Amino acid sequence: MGPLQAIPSQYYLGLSAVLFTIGTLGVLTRKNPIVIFMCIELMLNAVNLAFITFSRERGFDGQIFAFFVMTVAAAEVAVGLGIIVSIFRERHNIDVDEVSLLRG
Amino acid sequence: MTGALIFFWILAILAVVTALGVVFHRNPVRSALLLVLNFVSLAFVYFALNAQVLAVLQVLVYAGAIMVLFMFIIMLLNLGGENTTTDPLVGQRSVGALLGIALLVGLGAGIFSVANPAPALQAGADRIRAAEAQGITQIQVIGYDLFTKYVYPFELTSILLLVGVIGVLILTKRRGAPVTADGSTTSNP
Repeated sequence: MGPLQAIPSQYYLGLSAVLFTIGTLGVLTRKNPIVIFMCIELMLNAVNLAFITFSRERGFDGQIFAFFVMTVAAAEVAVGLGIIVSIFRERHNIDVDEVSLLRG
Repeated sequence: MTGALIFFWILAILAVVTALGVVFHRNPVRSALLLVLNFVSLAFVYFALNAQVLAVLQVLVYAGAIMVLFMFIIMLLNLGGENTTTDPLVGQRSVGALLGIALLVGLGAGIFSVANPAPALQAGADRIRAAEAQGITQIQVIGYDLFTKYVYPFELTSILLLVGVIGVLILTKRRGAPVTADGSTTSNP
């Protein structure tokens, strides 16, 4: 038990909540899909922070979950950026307000 | 205020400020660079939480691989600032901000309404201490768990990554471009 572990878990969880909220704000208000992706990464990182905070108290399972989240994030970014590139090829504009092909 | 608390606050403020910068910067390149800084400060938070393996992975995978991909796409598409004058969804920003604040209030109430964190499941914490006493490193424990307790999820992630690779290849392949005899595609279909 090092001195750095003296901080209560609620501090870390609070930081995680704030980061998650900022990420949500970005997803809701920005229009550039790449920035929206970055905000989703921000949210995934906030969740990872919560997982690792709980893993400090409850064994290593939280760290393994965070590891899986990282893997999924990597796959998601690759596919998402592939979609953005193919949309850009078709329309030369990727603003989410302009790309409304699926709007009902 | 102890040194640990000062360390935590510096990292927390850095993380929050860079996250706000990601959201509110007009230029996507600056957003991406601020996001790198955010990932690195979170890696230090992981160190403070005694999760060294994840801290190193955070720098390698997020700040290294994923952000390079982001920067590559931003540079490739050469995106300028976004159009902020027209807004087809009326009041999107204000409603978004309101919903964000509501989410923060809800999350904060959930975290801080618990006066004392629920007592830790003693087995897990004991296991960490026993491993540390025997000189077993964290990465050994994580690797062992990954290939015993979590072997099926682990294999599923490898399938997921394979599906991702194939999906990206199909998505970004130029439709209708015939493949010549030497394997290269011509640019004019």
